[in-house]
Amino acid sequence: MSVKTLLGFFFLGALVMGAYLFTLDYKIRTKFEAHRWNLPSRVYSDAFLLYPGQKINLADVERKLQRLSYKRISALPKSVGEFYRAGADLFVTLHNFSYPSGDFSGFPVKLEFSTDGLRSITRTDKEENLRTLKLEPERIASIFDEKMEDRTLVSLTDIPEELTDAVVSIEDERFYSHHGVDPKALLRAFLTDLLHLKKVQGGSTITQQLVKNYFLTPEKTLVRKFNEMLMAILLETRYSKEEILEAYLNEIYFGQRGPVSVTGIEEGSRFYFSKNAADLTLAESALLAGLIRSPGEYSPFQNITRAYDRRNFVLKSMREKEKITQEGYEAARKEKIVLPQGNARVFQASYFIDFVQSELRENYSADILKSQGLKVFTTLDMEAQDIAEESVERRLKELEEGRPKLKKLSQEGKILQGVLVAMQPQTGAIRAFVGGRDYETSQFNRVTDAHRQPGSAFKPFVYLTALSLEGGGRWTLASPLEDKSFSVPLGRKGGKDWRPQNYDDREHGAVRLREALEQSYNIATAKLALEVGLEKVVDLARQAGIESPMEPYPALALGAFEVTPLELARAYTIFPNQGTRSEPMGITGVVTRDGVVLERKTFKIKKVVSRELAYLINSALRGVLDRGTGSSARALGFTGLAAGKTGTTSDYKDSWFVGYTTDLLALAWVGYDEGTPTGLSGASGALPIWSRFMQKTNPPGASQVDFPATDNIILVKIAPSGKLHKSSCGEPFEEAFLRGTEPTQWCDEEGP
Amino acid sequence: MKRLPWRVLVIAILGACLSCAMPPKKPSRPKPPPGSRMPPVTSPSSGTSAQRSASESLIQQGTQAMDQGRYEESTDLFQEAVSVDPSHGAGYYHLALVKFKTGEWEEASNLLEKAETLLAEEAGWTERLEELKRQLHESQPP
Repeated sequence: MSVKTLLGFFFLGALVMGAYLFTLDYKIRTKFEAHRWNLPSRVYSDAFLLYPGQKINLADVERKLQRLSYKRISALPKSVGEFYRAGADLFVTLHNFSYPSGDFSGFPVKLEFSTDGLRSITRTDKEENLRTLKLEPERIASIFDEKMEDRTLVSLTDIPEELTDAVVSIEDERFYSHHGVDPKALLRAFLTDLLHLKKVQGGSTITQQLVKNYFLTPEKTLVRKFNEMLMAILLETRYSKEEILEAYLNEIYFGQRGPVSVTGIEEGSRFYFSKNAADLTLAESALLAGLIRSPGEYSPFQNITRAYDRRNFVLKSMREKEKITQEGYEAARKEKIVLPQGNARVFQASYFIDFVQSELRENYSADILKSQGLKVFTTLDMEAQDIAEESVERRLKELEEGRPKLKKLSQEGKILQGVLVAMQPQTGAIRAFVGGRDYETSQFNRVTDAHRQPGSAFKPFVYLTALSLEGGGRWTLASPLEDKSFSVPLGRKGGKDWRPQNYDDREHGAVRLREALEQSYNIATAKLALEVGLEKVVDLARQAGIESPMEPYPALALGAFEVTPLELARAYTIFPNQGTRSEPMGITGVVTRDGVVLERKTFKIKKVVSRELAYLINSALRGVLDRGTGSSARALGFTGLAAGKTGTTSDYKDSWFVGYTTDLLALAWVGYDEGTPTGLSGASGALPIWSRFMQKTNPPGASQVDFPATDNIILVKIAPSGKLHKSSCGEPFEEAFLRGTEPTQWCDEEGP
Repeated sequence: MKRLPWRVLVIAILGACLSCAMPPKKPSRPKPPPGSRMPPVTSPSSGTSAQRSASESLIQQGTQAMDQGRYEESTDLFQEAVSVDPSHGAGYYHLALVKFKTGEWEEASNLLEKAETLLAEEAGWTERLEELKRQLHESQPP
């Protein structure tokens, strides 16, 4: 072979090599510089406000702290995220948290409790009494891409030096001096392999590991190994040690949480210690560093002894390299590994998360949600949510087991479904949201997407319209109605007349307006609606927020049209909110991972009717619970002051209860998706879900507050006929009236 | 006997002076017609002073933020104030105020309407409410 040919081959080889290196380099640059990781978006619950005088006890707060992954310890807390109970006092070291409006730096607090509740809040590092204190929101869900890597980026400046020292010391001791590949380490690895000695340190540098995980596929071929080494060297020529280390720490795999892989030091830190990486102690840093080699093997969740051994081995290695002092070493060795509890739940409030996602998708593509690491803040109260889910599941089970008809249907494969949605009436903030019985079986979100007939749950809007006419002068709660059978020719070709019937198939004759609503008489209601004018009823219902199609046919009065549960709940907010309607609100803010606020929402309200009219309906709907179709709630244990309405459809396909206190409105529904009749009334199906939920979410004594009136409301004693009461006319009833509309005739007087 | 009327006079004068010095009473409620009574107007929420106090603290913080131009932060604080005590009209008023400052007039109007109903019976608010109402009215396009 001539020199020329040899040279030719050499140049060709060099060219090929050059081109190859160029492509590798290009790959490195484009991916590395773009920091292209897909970061899941995070959804948070509402924050929890504490204030002196609050009716909350120590156990409640402790429970909340545990939900937030604070660790209970047996001495005064020193480390972030711990709490200690001393008699009636709770000492807590608060977590840091980034709110949309700014960062909160945690500090130590003392919460003093008495028999009445929370007595005082003191910031112990400054001996300062606080008038309010927010406990950070819970992270309730993450929106992942297909890879399902749970990762939160952290910068090197936020990582303690001990952690980086631990990682370097155990994974790549000569990290700072080599140029991407460590020949000594490679040699040693080769020899240990050869001699089948236990691998103390792998041969790969941190840079090589990064390349392997970040850029390449995990095959174990020689070619891949060669590429890996080349790319590691290239990487080191382009980027600093700090940049490489930072990328490595954000890339590394730390274990599994169900179907999701815990990746990056920040999530690793949260997973094993419920802390931010910035707050890790030396011992904790050593444990995490030790996990990198084999998270499954060294996980303290799997084998605590092995975890201790591995951690201490890392500490020893650090001591040998003089990265830590002897005292530091000994103290860290002795440190106990305290594992977080209650961190296991992978799926929570799934229907609500879907609801949030569908709202988000109006402004952000699915791609962005899965990759940009947005932070979404919501109104959800996780404790209320848990109670809601349990109440729905429990009642549905009870019904299927206790009722032969439902048992049979369940055996035939029909699944009885239920819904519960709860909101703060004045702001529309959604506190609990259950769209079905079991998300994994059926993701169909009934709260927003089920179109069902409200049946008698619609009646309050008929009565509200009646009371609103002529400034309240036409009908009052005492007005007489005739619950006597009648029919309406529907004027359709060959059609029958419409003849409404009561649930008990009886006619009740002359009743007062209030009674007809409390007892949910169909006939009286239908008659009233026709006299009031169906268009007027539709009009008011629209103003209250019912957007679904409504036709002014007589059956409208009995709720024979379809609505979604959320729509109905929204319309009901006008009652506890004194005539003003509030929009259901799930999201309060959206923030980028860098803290830039993309969206901030305020609650939306609109006045629909006067406060007086709302008061009158509230008064009548209180009667539903005290005397009427909802009175079984009392026997079920709900003793608070509340108002509500049962809803039953004519063929028993739907069972509703919508009820509220001054603080909370909740709607429950039971039925089959296919529309199979359940045979359940509002009281037997939905009401027990509602009353259990309300009973458990309201602190005792909270719902004894009456709905506020105005100066235009007066209470007058009336006789059964509706006229002014005299002892000769039987039992008096104290009725509420708009001033000027009260009866003027005595009960023993003749005439209308 | 002669001294008694003198002492009574002194006491009467003192009493008159004291009542003049006392702060203006809340507008008294119209009397119910004979044979009837009136239910409470703004029932205190449970633990009223506690919730009200927390709400006031948040409003204070929010006002500080608003005065320093940190509108988003003040909006959050005022919303929290309403949430912890929805019967506290001041929360709605301040929220209306910051909404006005940020140009969200329709929302400001709706919030102000609510504030008016809740504050109608409380002394010292009429002026502020009227002022904001007037400003909103002037800002709305014809």
